[in-house]
Amino acid sequence: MRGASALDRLLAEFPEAHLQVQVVWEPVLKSDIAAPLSGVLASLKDRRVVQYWDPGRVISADLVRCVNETPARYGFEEALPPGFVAWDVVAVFPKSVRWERDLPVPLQYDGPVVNAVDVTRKAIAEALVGDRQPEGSR
Amino acid sequence: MIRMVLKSILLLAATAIIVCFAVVAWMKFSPRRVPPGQPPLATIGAGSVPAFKDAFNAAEGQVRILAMLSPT
Repeated sequence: MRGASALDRLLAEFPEAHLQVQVVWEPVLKSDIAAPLSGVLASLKDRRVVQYWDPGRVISADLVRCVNETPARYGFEEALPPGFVAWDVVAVFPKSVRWERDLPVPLQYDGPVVNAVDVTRKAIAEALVGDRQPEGSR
Repeated sequence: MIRMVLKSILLLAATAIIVCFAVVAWMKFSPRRVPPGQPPLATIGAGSVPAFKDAFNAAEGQVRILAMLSPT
């Protein structure tokens, strides 16, 4: 919840920017027994946001698969441990990348989201100005 | 006296169970509304990963942000 609110406030700092924001809600904690309630969804008010509910954590599984196949490409020294769930994380991607089989390398990713606001703001600003490619993406 | 106490405990337990069921049912089945201007909440299944990636790619030319969050 705090992460979502922090992200929404960050998006409000770029009101005119052409951004696409995909927010995936997934069950991680024992209390996550259902899709986020309307009150939770309302913590992301920005019109550029598209919200998803991923009960089977399939997006996280796909991200972990990508990282574990080529950890160095994503800046990891080794594969993620079994059962790892990608959550409370935010990633920024440059304008020109496409997501084919594997996740494109983000310009920046970090978490928890509430603590990643500053680096995410910087990455968004840089990505909007140019189309800097992250290292290892080519 | 004991019967009355037992009856009260049973009644309390039954009420608690009903309330729990009602809360869980409400959490599971109450309609989800996203803020105005956003598309409805989409549920992702094993077969919808390509569609998710397509949505990402459809915004090629824009900066894209992906956030993974937990509802509670």
